Amino acid sequence: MNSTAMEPVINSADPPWSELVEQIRNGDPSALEQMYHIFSTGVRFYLCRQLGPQDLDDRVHDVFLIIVQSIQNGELREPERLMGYVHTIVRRQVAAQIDDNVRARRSQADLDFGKNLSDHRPNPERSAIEHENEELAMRILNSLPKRDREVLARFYLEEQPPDRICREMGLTETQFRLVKSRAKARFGELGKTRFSRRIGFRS
Amino acid sequence: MYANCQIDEEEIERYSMGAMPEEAIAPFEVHLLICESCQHRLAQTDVYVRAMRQASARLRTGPVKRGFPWLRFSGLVPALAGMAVAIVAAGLWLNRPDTGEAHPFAIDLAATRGAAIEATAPAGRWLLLRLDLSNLAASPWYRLEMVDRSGNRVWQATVPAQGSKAGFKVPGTGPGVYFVRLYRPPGELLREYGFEVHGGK
Repeated sequence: MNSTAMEPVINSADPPWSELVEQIRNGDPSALEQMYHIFSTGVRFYLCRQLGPQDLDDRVHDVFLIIVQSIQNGELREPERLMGYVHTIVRRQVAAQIDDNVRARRSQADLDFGKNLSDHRPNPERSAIEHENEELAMRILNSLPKRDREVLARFYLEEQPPDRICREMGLTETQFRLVKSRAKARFGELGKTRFSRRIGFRS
Repeated sequence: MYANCQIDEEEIERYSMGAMPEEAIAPFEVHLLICESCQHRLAQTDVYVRAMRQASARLRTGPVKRGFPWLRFSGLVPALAGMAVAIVAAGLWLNRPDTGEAHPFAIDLAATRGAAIEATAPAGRWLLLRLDLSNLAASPWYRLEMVDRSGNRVWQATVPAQGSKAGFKVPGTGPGVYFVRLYRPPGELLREYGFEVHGGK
């Protein structure tokens, strides 16, 4: 049940990065378009997950601007590592944004303006969706035997390691996985239509 | 792209819960950049994990609600009414919210998501605050400071890192917005998290 380090995923469908990078260096607009097409959804997804949906278009734009400028300035020395390079830039942008948020919050607190500055709660639509999902999970948990509820609470709420849960509750690894996978499958069935509509990172 | 992606659900769940080993995070995130299947599955898993945490927390703090369709038979109702009152009273007593340190209310402060504060907790209960340390400068210890909305410190502690996680218990507080600031010793501010304590659910 121990996790193992993942190997970098290599796929025959990987585009020829060297060629693409070379074209970007030469200012080929179709290469820029191709890179945007390949990475834009993933970059949006990552930024949205880490920072939320506000200013997402601007943030995605900033990331691509930095990547293109870096490539054109010759900072990407190993073109075949383009994916890793994009990942590094995106992570740096997330870290910088978090740093900005912390600084802004500190200065707000220092000035004692916090009470008037903004409403920090999630928007009503998002709150409603969260509530629906929670009710769905409640339905599933309430329909399960007590032992299965306890397994799921220990794993998801208390984040106990699977081997500890199995040991303390007298379960095999297969039984543990089954409890988890059945509950998740049920949640997926019940919420299927909502999932497809409400994954909000796409433009 | 990556129509035949081999990343399994366990890996995605580990990443979603912040339990993926540090060395596996970067390769996974690189893959995530171009695999729409994994993006979709991760988004679903995030929703699921969050819902299960919230629902499990509710179940831990209140009695389980179940349907009793056989109570619709009117003749049974009077006969069972007295018994039900006694059972409910006993159930409420046995399942009363535990506000002690031994059973704190757990909340995840996993990521700063813009200005929105999504994590919530009930007032007056011990809290177990769990932090995601991935992507941060590594340190065996971190200093945590909890402040109220005006920046007044209400709690501080030094906690050991456990992989990419850290957790600490805080005594119950009154309603309001609070921020947790994470420092790497001696005093480098790394991150800030927000959560709201509300009066009751």
